[in-house]
Amino acid sequence: MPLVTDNLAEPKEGIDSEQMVLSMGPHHPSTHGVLRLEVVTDGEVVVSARPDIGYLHRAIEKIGENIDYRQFMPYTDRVDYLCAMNSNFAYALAVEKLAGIKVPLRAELMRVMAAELNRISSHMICLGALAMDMGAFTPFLHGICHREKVNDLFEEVCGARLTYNYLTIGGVSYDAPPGFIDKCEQFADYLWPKMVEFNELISGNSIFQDRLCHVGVVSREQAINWGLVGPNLRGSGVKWDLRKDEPYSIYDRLKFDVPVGDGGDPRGSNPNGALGDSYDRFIVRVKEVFESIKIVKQVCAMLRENDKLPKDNSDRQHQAKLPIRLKVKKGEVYVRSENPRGETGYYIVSDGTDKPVRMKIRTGSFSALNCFEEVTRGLLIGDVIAVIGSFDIVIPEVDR
Amino acid sequence: MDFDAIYHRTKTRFPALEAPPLEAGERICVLPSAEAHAVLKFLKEDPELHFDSLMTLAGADTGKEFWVVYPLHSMTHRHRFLCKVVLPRDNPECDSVVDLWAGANFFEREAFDLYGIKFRNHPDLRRIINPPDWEGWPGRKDYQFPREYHGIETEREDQFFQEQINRETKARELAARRVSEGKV
Amino acid sequence: MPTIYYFLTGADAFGNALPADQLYTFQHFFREWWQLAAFIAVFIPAKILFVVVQAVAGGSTYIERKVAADIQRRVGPNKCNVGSFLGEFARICQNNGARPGAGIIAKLMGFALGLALPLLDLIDKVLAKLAPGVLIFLADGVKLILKEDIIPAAVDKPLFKAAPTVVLVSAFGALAVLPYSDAWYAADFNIGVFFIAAVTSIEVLGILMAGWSSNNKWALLGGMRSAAQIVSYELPVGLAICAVILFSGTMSMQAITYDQFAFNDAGSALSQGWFWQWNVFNPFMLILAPVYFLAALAECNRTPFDIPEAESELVSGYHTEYSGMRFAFFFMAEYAMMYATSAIAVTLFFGGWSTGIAPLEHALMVAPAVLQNGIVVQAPQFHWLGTLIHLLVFALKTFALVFIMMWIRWTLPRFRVDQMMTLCWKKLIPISLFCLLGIAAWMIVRMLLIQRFGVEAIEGTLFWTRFVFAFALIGWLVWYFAKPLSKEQREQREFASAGTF
Repeated sequence: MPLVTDNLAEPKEGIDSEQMVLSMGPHHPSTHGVLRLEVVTDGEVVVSARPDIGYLHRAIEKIGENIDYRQFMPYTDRVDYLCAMNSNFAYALAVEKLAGIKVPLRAELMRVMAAELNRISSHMICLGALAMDMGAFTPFLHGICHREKVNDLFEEVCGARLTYNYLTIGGVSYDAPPGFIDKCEQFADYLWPKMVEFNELISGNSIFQDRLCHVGVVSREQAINWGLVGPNLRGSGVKWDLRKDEPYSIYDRLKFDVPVGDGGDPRGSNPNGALGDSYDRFIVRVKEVFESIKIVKQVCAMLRENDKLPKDNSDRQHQAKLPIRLKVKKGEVYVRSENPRGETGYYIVSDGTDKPVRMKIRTGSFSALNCFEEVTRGLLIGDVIAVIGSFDIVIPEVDR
Repeated sequence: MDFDAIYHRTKTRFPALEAPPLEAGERICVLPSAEAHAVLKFLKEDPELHFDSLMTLAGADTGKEFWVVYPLHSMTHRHRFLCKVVLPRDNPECDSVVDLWAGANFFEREAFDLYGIKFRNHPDLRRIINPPDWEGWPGRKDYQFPREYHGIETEREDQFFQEQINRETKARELAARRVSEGKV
Repeated sequence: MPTIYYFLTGADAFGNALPADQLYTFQHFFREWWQLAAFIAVFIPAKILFVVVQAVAGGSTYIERKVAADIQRRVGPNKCNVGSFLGEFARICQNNGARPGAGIIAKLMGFALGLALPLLDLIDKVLAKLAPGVLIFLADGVKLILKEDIIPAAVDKPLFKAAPTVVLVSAFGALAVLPYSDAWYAADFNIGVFFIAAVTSIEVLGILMAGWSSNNKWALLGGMRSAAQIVSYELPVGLAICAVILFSGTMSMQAITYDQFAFNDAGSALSQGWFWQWNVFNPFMLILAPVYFLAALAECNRTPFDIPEAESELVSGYHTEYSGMRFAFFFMAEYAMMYATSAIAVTLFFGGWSTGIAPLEHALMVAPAVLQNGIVVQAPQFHWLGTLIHLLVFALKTFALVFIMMWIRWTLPRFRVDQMMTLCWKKLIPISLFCLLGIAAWMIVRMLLIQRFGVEAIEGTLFWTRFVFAFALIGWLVWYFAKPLSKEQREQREFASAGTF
């Protein structure tokens, strides 16, 4: 369907109109956090939508320069609280690379399990919030219902339901409690048909597709140039997933696909859209949930095998042995891992003491907001909401 | 291509590069600040290297100097290369790379906001995370938090707050001592 | 009323001045005492209707919340129960009565209500099972009334205060001409449908007033969008109504219902009151009924057309600045419009108060309808039990459509503004025009055939054609929804066959 703005290029003669400056203020009904957009509209068409961030800035990076490496782990939860396990994961990987710590196999398995379960629950929120912004209130609540089960699993394993502080430098805090592996597998079996139902409810809905197709199109080259990552990048057709292309932990032993956007392809999942539109990004996330379910089942099998090892085997430990004061050698490292929102990269500069000199956290939502003004030029106000939701922007990640 | 190959390929074009050895972590190449933009342009456009993805752009304050770090990645060749520019403490300025990678826009604004590093030719260099009328560069090691902002006092007169102030003063003194002893 | 017209202008409808002694002045208008009483008595049924519809509209907020909860896999409101409210009240009175300084009335009340406590607890247990949390709508109403009436300083006060009233009046005005049962209706204008279309269009004014006077850009945007939406969707509504008027030959709501009830005189006495005589079983009407329903959804600002109130974009659209009872007026107006438009759809397309089962109708009938040339000239008369049953049937049918509106709201996402306008102007209006022309052609063909073959034969043929069509349609619907899943769908639902490892 051609955009409304296609024939707005020429100014109309004799019509005296003004542009309206709106502030989609920090208090927002959409569940994206405290983001302020300065929107200048010409009627319903957006002339410019500039993001104004900083409402949730907590100077986490500066705090990281003043405390110990191990003390910083809870702060990484708050960088993106919807997928706290993945945020923990990236930081742990960075410090372990810098300090040369080897993580035992059991800890790796638990880490991957936690990361994938958290990916599922984070995508539940993202997909649900996007649907809710589009006016369908039900998928969000269904997603919350599934997410509750993941929260229950995490509560069993580490005691918390949102900010877990579960991973540590060198492993995980607690081993899997008895029965945990069975419950994870039951959850995976429970969720697959529910995701199929979710697809039937909202993904195939033609109103929903009309809202998202051809909206916020980001081409391949633009996506790479603007630094988009994760599902935003894959939605534009670039097959890049850090778990496959720069594998870390045990991801090279797991079998899963990397869903990529295929808008416009009549045999693909987005026949009515264009490559890199919002619907592509949405469908990539839906497929990623299915892939994460597969990974969870594989990790359950591997955990069961690992259970059979004797207790004193080094692979059966859930935490590597570390000295009381963790002194990291002098050096710099940039390590990134795959977050539900893209990648979380940690650039850590160490000077040989137990506190880093500089810790920079790179998050996917920051880059997504970077290109926001360009992407939303000429769209309608309703499309601006669709673009925010499809980029899956959460503000704690942006502001840190 | 691994670090050495990329480094040598670039060093033939720009001899002023350096790659000091590090004890741990990844090797990183130091660019001369005058030619930084030219080197990065070469890194992006050379067909063998083709670093089309700027992973992030980090400003850093080591106490002695400022760094602007460019971790680069190539989607076509699947290799990465870390490089940085070292800037002096007073009046740090650098060339903006927004014309090479549009994704650098917000990152450079953040470096400006936190460290005061000015990026020449940036389309819209202003504060991004802090309020637009904030004074000072919060990321710097010698940053003093202001005592009041628009009439709101930031210090309170109770024991808990005094303890916090003492802790912060000690941390600041420790950082200053580290700088002066050359440990960074 | 002609008398008021004369009173105001001093002339009759053709502009001829009336002689002075025939003019009614106010004291002449009410010169007999019973005229004043009659004038006041007109308001009583209106008041009853108003109260009943308000209660129903309020109760349907509860039903909507329960429906939403069911679709979203949660429980919904379940704490505000009749028995618990009364029980709390009784316990408070009992405690107050038992206090040392209580007066005699407090003691009596406490004693009496204390005796009643077991009964109230029993009511609580029973009702809480049937309709848990039903009093939530009363609790919400009380809360809204007690809220502070915030009028922002910069609004346009007269418009701000008038807007909710205008919207409410327009929504409730349509209820005056609805045929709730064969003998129970507030007023049966012979321009009933036209009156409804006219009255419900006043809503746009109220919404524009609300949006403009709020002095808030978001509210203004919401008001503008809503005005554009409602005005656009008046057209499919109007065209659908025109088609029905053409088909039934009358604008009076009751007459349209009689026309669907007693379609023809085809021989036996059991030919009056079958469900396939309803308007909807005409092929063009079959297309028009969903068109009308969609346009009615848009008139009510319901999802998928709730752009004016889109929470995620405009906070609350045109009623952002309203709080307390003013907001409740908008809210109630939305529900009243839902009921009004559903009732109109039921009357126009689905047979109104007719049950659709002719033997039942005949058992309840006292006098059958008399037709002449296919037009009902004498209405059927029913036993009082029949009237009651008809009222229930009308309520049930209306509620079924309202339930479908609620169902749609919690399932579908909302349209973007331009998509909504495209749907109206490029899709619904051509369809309704086509159907209108089709109905007109149908009427002409029918007339020609009647002239050729006579009324009896044609009406008989139509009766049996309708019968076949109705059963074919229902059979197809049942088959479509009950057929087993295709192989592909079954595979997708099973875990083992999906995905590669």
